[in-house]
Order: sequence, then C-alpha cells, then structure tokens
Amino acid sequence: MDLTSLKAWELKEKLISREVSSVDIVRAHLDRIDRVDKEINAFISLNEDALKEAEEIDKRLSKGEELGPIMGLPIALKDNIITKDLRTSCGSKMLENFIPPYDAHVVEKIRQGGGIIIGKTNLDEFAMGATGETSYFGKTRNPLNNELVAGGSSGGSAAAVAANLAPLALGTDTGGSIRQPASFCGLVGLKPSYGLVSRYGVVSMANSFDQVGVFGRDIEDALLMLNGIKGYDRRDSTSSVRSNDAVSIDDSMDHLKGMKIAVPKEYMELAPKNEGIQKKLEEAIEVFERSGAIVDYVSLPHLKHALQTYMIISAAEISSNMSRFDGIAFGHRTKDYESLDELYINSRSEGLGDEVKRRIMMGTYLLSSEHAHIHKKAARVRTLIMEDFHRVYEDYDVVISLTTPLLPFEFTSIERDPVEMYRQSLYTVAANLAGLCAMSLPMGFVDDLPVGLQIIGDKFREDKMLRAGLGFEKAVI
Amino acid sequence: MAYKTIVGLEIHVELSTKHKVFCNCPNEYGADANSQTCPVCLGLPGALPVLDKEAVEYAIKAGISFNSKIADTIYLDRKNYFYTDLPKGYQISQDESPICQGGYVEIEVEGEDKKKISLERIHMEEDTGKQIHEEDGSLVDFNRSGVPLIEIVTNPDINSADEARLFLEKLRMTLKYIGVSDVRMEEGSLRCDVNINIVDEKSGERTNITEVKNLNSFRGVGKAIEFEEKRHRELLEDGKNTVKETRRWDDIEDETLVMRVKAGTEDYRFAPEGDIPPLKIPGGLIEEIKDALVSFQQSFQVPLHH
Repeated sequence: MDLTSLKAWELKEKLISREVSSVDIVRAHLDRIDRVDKEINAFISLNEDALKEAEEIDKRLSKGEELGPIMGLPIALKDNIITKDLRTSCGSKMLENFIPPYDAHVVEKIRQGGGIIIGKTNLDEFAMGATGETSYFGKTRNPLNNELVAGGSSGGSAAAVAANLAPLALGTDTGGSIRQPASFCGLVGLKPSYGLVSRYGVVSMANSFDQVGVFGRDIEDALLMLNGIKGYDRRDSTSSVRSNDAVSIDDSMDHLKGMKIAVPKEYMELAPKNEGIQKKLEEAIEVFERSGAIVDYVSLPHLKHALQTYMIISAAEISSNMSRFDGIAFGHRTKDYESLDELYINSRSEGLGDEVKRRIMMGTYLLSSEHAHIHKKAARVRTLIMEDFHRVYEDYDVVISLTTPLLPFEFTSIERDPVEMYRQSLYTVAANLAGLCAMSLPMGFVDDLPVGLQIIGDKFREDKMLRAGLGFEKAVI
Repeated sequence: MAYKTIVGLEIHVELSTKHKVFCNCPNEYGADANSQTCPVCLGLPGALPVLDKEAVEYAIKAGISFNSKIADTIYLDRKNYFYTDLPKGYQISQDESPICQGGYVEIEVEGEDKKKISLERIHMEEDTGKQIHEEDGSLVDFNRSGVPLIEIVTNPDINSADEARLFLEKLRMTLKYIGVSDVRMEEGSLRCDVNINIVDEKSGERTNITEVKNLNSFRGVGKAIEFEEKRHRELLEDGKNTVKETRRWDDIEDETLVMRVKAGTEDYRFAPEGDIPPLKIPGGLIEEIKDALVSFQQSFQVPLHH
C-alpha cells in the first residue's frame, strides 16, 4: 500500500485502526522525497528529527492517547514560517544560514497537536512572486508537468502535496500566493479570513494582507489542517477572538440547495485570453445551478481598482517590513564595507534578489513624503472595496470566480515583465484587501492542465465558503 | 539692541513599567548586555509587537498631570529609518495622533509672575538599543530596545536658561511623584534636546533654529542655552545668521559643536503600524486614573500642579 497516495483523513483512519504507525507514514514520505524531490525541488530543508518525533507520537498513541486532528501526520511548511532550530531561509540568500531561536504560533500548535513537520518548502524569495523562479534555492517544478511552474509564492508547498511528498502543507497568501499555486497544481488551497490564524512567527511581507493558509488534496484535508492551526493568539495583535469559533462542515447537508452565489461582473470584463478557461467557469456555474444554488452576476464597482490598490499598499508595507534585514544582528552581512552606509547597502544588495529590491524601491517611493498621498488614497479605495463586498454578502452567501487567468506556464530564462506577473493576481487580491476567506479548488482541465475555481467567503464565514466548496466537489465527482 | 530668546524643549522620558512596551522583557536598568531581549525587541523576522497596558496607563497619568487632553483612541505609527540600534529599521511611535495633546507646566521665576509653559503634545514610542563605541568597532546592546518612552514636546514658550531649568525641575518632580519614571538624566531615563533661536525685537529679524543634543544634566541645558544665545546674537550683530543645524553640547569644553547640517529634514516615511490596529482606550480607564491621582495628590502637602 502506497501511504503517500492517501489523503490525510485516510491516513488518520489507518492510524486510528492501528493499521499503520506514524513512523510508517513519515518514513514512506521521507523515502519518496528522497527519490522524487531532486526533480521537483519542493523542499529547501528537511527535519532530521521527523522519524524520532513520529516514534514519540506512536508511543503516545500506544498508551491510549486520543488522536488529535493532525496527530502523527507529516506536514510541510513554507520556508517563511519560523521554526526553532530548523533553518528558515525565506528562499533568500539573506537568510541562507538563519536558524531561528523560536517557533511560530502555528508551529507550536502543530507540535502540540502531534503533527510532524517533515520539512520547509521552497518559495519565491520572501514570498514575492508567482512562479517560484525568484528563490535563491532554485525553482520548483510542477509535479503534473515538470517543464511548467508550480506557481507561487507557495510553489514548494503546493508541489509537495501534489507530488505526494506530504499530505498536508502550510503556505502564506498575501495576494494569491496559496490559491494560484493550488490552481496550478490541481489542489485545494485555502486562505483564511485575516485574523483567523496567528501571524506570530510568520515573516511579514505585507502585514495587513498576510495570512497562513493550507494545501490539501480535498476540502476535508484542508479543513483538517486549518483546524490544526487556527485560534486566537495574544502575541499577534491582529489575531481575532473569533478565530476560536469552530469551523466544521456537516457532511449530511445538501450543501448547495438554496445557496446564493455572486459572480463579479467586473471580473467578466477582465476575462482571460484563453477562452477554454473562461468556459470552465461557465461550466462551474451550471454545476452550481443544477445543484439548486442561485447564481447571479453582481457588480462590485471598485474591483476594477483592486490590483493597483493592492500593489500600492503591499509595496509600501513590504518596504518597511524588509528594513530589519540589514546585516547588523542576523542574516547576511557583506564582507565589503568601510562605513556603516556601505555595510547596509552591500549587505542588502548582495543578500536580496531583484524582485524583492523592486518592491522595496516602489514601497519606499510611495511612503516618501512627496508621494504619500497616493498610499493614503489607496487606503481609502481599499475601504470602498471592503464596502462593495459587505453589500454583496448581505444578499449572497459566497462570491465565485476563476482563481487565475492563466494555465501553468513554462519556465523562462529571460526576466519576465514584472507588470505582467502582477496581473496574474487579478482575481485573488480582492480577498486580501478585504480580509475575507478565499479558496481555490480544482474544477477540471484545459489542455490537460488544471484550472481552479475561486470561492470567496465573508469574513469569518469559512463555514459558508467550505459548504459551497464541498457541494461543488461532490457534484463533480 | 534687545533680543528675545525662544526655546522649545523635546524631552524623552523612560517609563518605569515592569515590562518593555511591546514585549514581556523586563524593563530594568543595568543588566548585562543583551540579557533582556526576545524576538520582538530584537526585531527578529516574524516577531510581532503587543502594546503594554501599564505603559499606556503611565502615559495617561503623565498627560493628566500636565492638564493635557487625552485621546480616546491610540494610533501607532512607524517611523522608518536605518540605524544600528534600531533593530526593525523603524521605530514604533505616534505621528499625527499623539495620546496627549496640549497641557502645560507652571513655573515661577524668582521675582516674576507664575508662567505656564505650554505643551504641544505627549506621545508614546519605543526606545532604541544602545551603541557602545570601542577602539576596533562598535557594539550594540539591545536591553534598552523596546523600553517605553513618552516624548514631551513644549511649545516655544521658554525664554531663558533659568526658565528652561525651572521647567525641567518641575517636570521631573511631577513625573517622579506620580511614579511613572525614575527621571534620572545620568541613567538616561530623562533626555532633553533644545531647539533655540533668537529674534531681534526691533527689526523682527530671526535666526535659524539650532537643535542642541547630547545634554546630560539640567545645568548643561542651561549652559547650552546661554552659549547659543550668545552665538546667535554675535552672528546677528555681524550681519550674519545661524545655519539650520544640529549641534552637540560638549560638557568639557562648555560649547556646542556642529553635528550635522539639516539640508532638508530627514523623511521618516511615517505609516500606520499595521501590526497594532487602533486601540480604543476603555471608557472609565481615564477617569479611574484621574481619581487615583487626585487621592494620591491629596496625600501630599505640596500641590503638584494647578
């Protein structure tokens, strides 16, 4: 029996029935990583204590300890999530040798829950990118077709789950960085509502957008992982007490009947060039309607400014959040300096890649006093976008759209047009701007490549989002 | 010729809370270097700030003691700049919405009427680490990083070295008796910068403002003001003017020396602190603090303020 091809909930069943042990499961995944990961490059570091930890879990299980949701399961973590004593590189030369002295809150939760961290996955440098090509540790290949990108910035986590190297993985999503790779790799990728999962120990990119989220091979797996990490954390002042509310889905419910679903008109005007992809969305709408849901095209007028608003605010936040990488107390320090200014300039120039530098420069420009009015205006537009969604959720349960306008594409040796890259996040940034929960789930193939459906739920209404997703999942099986 | 001296003071006061302002590290003076640190006050990647309640209470206490208006919401902002003692590359401070606005300190110059020195604002911020310069390089001690400060900014109401000294003494006494700070200049729990210029009362001509830093005692403040008064006056009498600059006080030579020329003001790229959303001060907390202060004052025979 190939344990690596089973879903997390299937592995759990086998653990409960004692058919397999945690050591069996972890060993199977480590073996597969050993065989397969040189092709894919999903992992930057592996946890050398994984088998030892699995042994400990087996001991506890044999003593009759009750199985928590993620107990004994191997989990891959995006390498911008801080793990004590295990290198955390953020895919950057700046942190190539950074061994943190503490654990992120989500890591503490995983450990407390008996989950086994199997390794740290590859990402676009400091989570900035959508292709996996900006990592200092090389690119991650799409397990479905290794000439193609796995997406980004959580490409490594997506590839790990898609290649059966781990049944569950954590990523982070600031503008679509979980949902887009989920779409590219044919997985479920879920970004929770802002404040549902603690950011303590998650390296900040744009801190009013960042959230830790999950990858799974189906919705049940994604929910399993989400429940293992969510919850109020007083060390994160943006963490919400609402995150202690239970999130569950009733399997017996007829999920879609009577559900009201909105499709943003503004996205229809920004339809992808590939008509095959747009057609998949139309098919999905038919599935929803056949199952008894009501689907309407609704206007969210300020969505047409969402991408620019996101780029402005996120760049400003990035420029400030990246300032701590200065070569003084930790991280890469240049050997080439004669003054303090040179120490700063050279450490940062050597340690950081082009895309990171690009966004720091944009952000610094936008925060400077002559241009600060742009950033302030973007903050006001952000509020208008939130209000558009608020209005829609008064009458609708969820909003749906495509996850991304593109199919997974080929790697390139020439530098991509940054603006073209940013445009990929067209459909995903709105959920980050408004702090809403959003997920991508597979809805078929075009040219043999996976296409994702995006479902966006109201803030802290993960239940409705999951209900819609589960209903769709069941309807297309 | 009659010249009027115009002085404004910027005072940083370390609050004597139990913990640092954004983490649980102990707020104690004199420990071994880098023994009172954690991921938050070291600015390690992923660490997040949490506002300390006691620091807020102390800041409100100070504001009430100086008759300031206390805000109903706390807004924190990032002041972005690079320096070795600033681990995050930004200082969490307050920009346009300080916790206290206005207020005053009343002083009595011998032989004159009582005078109110008005305050522009009092805001909260975190302290930086401390740089120690050695022969072969510099070291940074982050024990002080994250210690809570209040910055008290006066309006340019002070007109002499004596007034400045009296102001500082009254300020210090008040803060000490309400128990929010040790206010020891020698230990750095009270720091003072002077902004000074003079105006020719006849012609209205004004000199450019000089900022004086590195003052270590109230006496030093007084001497620096007298030195600058003279320097500004002599330049005006020569038909010249001061350069808008920052100077440091040299206590040994009893003079100010140029530190840096303010070509333009440094752009701190202020932005809201996204990791700490605006916090409403609980209704009743301000009243509670006010009541506690009143009964505290009544236990002293010498009134602290009018």
